Amino acid sequence: MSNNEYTVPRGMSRGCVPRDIRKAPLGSSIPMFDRLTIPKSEWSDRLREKRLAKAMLSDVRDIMGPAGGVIPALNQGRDPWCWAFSPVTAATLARANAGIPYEHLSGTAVGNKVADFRVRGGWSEESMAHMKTLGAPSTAFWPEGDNARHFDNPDTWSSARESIMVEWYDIDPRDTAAINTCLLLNIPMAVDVPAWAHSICLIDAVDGFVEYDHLNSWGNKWNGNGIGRLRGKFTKFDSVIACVVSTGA
Amino acid sequence: MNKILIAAGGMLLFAGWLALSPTDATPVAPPVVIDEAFALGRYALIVYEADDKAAYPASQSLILDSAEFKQYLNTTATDGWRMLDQNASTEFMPLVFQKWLARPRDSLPWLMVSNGTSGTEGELPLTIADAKKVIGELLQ
Repeated sequence: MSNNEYTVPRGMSRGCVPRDIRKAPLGSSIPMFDRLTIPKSEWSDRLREKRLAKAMLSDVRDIMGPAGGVIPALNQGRDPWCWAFSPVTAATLARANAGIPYEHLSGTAVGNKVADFRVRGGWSEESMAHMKTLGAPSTAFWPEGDNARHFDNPDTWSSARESIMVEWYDIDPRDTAAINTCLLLNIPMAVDVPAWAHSICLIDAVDGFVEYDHLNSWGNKWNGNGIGRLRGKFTKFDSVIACVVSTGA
Repeated sequence: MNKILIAAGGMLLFAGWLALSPTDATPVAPPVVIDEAFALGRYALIVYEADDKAAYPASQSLILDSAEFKQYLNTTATDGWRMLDQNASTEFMPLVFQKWLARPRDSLPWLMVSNGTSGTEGELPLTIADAKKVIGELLQ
């Protein structure tokens, strides 16, 4: 990934602001990650075996979308709600890994609901705190990119109950053992990247475990297939939310 | 004379019965006992505990994550399959997964497979190849 890819494409937006740790301390709205981690000595072998078995989250993405095809990257367009789209992307992938049939979930709905229809920045933990109680509706109920208030109705949020998250974790952004364990176990994470002012979904570890592949929310055309690679200062995260178990149909 | 004819006829009938009787009769199979939980269609379910997944053998963990294996399930468990944490909510899922997740299990991770008339369940094998073997016996 060249540095050019960290620029915001025309017609797209971002809007991640640093997590307010006084307002939202680690573990305050969702539990802290406290599970067993995979020993560092096993990371490289496990990663190699996952590649051979086509067991990376990007592999799962390739076959669990509509009609057995690719799960499309979400598209936030000009709205600043990357911090809503990243947990919705993570929920989508967690559902795919569980075999739950694909449903295009609406990041626009979550962003509008959390921000109360105001165009403002935020962080992914805000959206996760919302999704653990209300879920994310299908775009059949609240189309992606449409900010009309009439979509915010009981039918919409009744449908969203099918995607309420059952288990997810707040991870200390410095805890690389937890982050790498999650990636080795196909647990997608919504991460906020201060150097980019952007929130995206981490999907795959890369050899050496100092770089990561992510699924962005700038549509499928971005970077070829919606996936990019984080390097250097872009691997310093401000907030990391692991999406473990989702409700589903 | 009549007595002789009747006796001869009886002997012929007896001989005919012997000839027609199977000499190496296959034992009659016991009636198939169908657990109604497995009579719902071509389904597969793996139940696991997400908190323990890091402790599962790496090869077994791959069963849960492999896209190739999921593709295999797409083509065999054609009515549906899931890989669920034991505490997952099945409220909106097909009835079969609600029933199966509620069944008692001896251990985790646990595999359940059905083809609509019969089924099997047991510990999840340790490799993708062995898991395919178990599923293939019912769903190929």
